[in-house]
Amino acid sequence: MAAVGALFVLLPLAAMVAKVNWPQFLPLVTSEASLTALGLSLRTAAASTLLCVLLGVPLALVLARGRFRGQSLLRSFVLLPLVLPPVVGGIALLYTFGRQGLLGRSLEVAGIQIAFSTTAVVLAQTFVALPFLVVSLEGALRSAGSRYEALAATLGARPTTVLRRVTVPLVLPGLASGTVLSFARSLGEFGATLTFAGSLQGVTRTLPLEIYLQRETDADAAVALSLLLVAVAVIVVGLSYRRSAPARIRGSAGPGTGA
Amino acid sequence: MFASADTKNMAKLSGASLIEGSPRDFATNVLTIAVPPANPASIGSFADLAKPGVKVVICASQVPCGAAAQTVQKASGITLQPVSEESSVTDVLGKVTSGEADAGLVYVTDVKTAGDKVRGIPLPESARAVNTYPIAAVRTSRNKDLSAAFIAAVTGSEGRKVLLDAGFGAP
Repeated sequence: MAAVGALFVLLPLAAMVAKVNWPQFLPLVTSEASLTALGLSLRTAAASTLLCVLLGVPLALVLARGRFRGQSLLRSFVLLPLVLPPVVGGIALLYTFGRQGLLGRSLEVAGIQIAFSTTAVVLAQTFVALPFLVVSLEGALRSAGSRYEALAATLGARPTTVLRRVTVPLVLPGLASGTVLSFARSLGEFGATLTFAGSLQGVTRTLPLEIYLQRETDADAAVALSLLLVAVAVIVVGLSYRRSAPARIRGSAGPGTGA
Repeated sequence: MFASADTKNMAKLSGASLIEGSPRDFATNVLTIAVPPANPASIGSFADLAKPGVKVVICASQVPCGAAAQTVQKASGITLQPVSEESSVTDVLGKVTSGEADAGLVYVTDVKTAGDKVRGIPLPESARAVNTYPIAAVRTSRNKDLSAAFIAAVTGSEGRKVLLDAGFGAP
């Protein structure tokens, strides 16, 4: 069954690779529109990942370590973007940050316009990618438990020292994989961006939107760009997992030997 | 049978000898300006769309509605600075109905379908970018009589009436 599972993922990828027009591949992926879209994708995905870490780490800590009423309800809502179709996320963001939206009107008064801007792309990506970071980190925090933290505290470590010397090293692999997943999800974001941010070269047209547009007229370009997106995703995920592997050993060895 | 929203796609099929006989034009459609009901940017003409600060959304030039938008710009000598170039005309309409955009270039039929969610502003310049809709039977069809009957109905007086009611023009 594992082989069937692997084939299920690999076969469509292989079918796509088989459709690539290799003689034209380089000109297609290095066209001005393609490179602009790739650059925008990498920049916005990096910004969204940063935002995911900034917002997601405190959220994961509260969900894993806190005990309060409505905690499981909060978790369900935080994880909601995982199951929502991205278009729905886009509509929700539109009614929040859009010109006529909940916050949009106040923002416009303050001179901030989010619609049709690169900021809108980053918000859409963060919205769909945040749960990946929260889930990964909360899982790591839960499986690490709070025994080591409690022990460090009894040995006289202050809360900040506990966080820095015990908690963070313990959950570093979880944080790393959550960060990578958020980046990958941001890179592939399409539906929410299209609905909320629009599509303009260099401003809001990320690689997935460029692929969608190219598909209208130039199937070869769409396939070539798809392969480029897959390659970028594979490189990012592959490199990060290789790098986080030694951290996992370090992370579990440190407090383990201490206990 | 195959009905196309532009002659370009029909030409692809004719070129590949995939259709029976020659295609028949059954309707036309032209662009118009769609604005939110309150018309916040006070749009009254195509030239108003080029005013600074006006948020205009059009189709990308790769899709038929975008190609028509380019033709109108060229014919009128007015170049727009759109805030977004969407992949489909429904996405353009969506940006206008949600109030995100001040105006969008869509088809006359889209404004008609949207009802009171948008207002249409006449666009005389669109006469230079008329989209023609052709229809033809597919050569490999197993229901040749049925497709011929359908094409006759669409191009006949009954079909014409339905199409005119929806906002399409006569070919």
